[in-house]
Amino acid sequence: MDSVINPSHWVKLYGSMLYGYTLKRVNDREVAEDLVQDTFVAALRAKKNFEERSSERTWLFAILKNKIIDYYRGKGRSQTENIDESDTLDYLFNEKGVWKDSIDLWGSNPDKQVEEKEFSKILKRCIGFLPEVQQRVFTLRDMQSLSGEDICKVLNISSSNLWVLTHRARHQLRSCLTQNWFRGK
Amino acid sequence: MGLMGTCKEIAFLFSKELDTSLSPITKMKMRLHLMMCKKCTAYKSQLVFADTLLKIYYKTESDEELSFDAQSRMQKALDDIIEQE
Repeated sequence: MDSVINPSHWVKLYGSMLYGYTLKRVNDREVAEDLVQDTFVAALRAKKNFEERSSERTWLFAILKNKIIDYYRGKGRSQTENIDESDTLDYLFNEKGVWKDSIDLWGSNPDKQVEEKEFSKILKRCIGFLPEVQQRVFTLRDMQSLSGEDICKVLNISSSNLWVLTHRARHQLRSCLTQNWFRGK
Repeated sequence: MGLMGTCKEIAFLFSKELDTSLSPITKMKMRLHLMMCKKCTAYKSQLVFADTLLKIYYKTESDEELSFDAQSRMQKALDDIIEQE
């Protein structure tokens, strides 16, 4: 099936496409470039396995997705060790466990909200403030479409670790958006 | 946790509910608590809003392009392997 793939043109045809996809997932230009190059090299070495039932582009993306998962798996243990599960949100509640401050309603249409350019910038900044391990959980969930169970396997964490991480991330994002956007509205 | 739970206990469960399914008893406690607590109702709606924003953000692809230098480097790596073959 070698005749239907053309490795000489891969960089020109798919380089930027694969790079953009990777960059959003690893958030590091150098790492993204390395993963794309590794993908091309791995594909070239495995070109005999290429089957015509998928397109060249789909095949390259499939290899890249596995490379990204391997990258996360490799980083998993070192960056998720000793996740502190103690409640760091204690300061929000009084001694009876009741909210200290009032909480406003934000509306019900996040899709419409992100259409506002200024809001989108603030959202990007607020997500950028999240610790890397929290960002990784949402990348795996929303971009790689992994289940909670699979995320735990890739990052080598327990399900209770995962819930603590997602809760903190949602809470931190909520606080950042409250301070930088909703409070002034 | 008592029959209705405290706001602090329930707040964590709102987030957990977005990741996994909760037991019918826990869901009932949350519903009871929400009926009585406007702050938790608002907090839950903010958490769901924030979670949807995360989904939208991570599902939007980057349109950043590969630099010329990186393209040249990759092309050379591929050409070298092709030549060796």
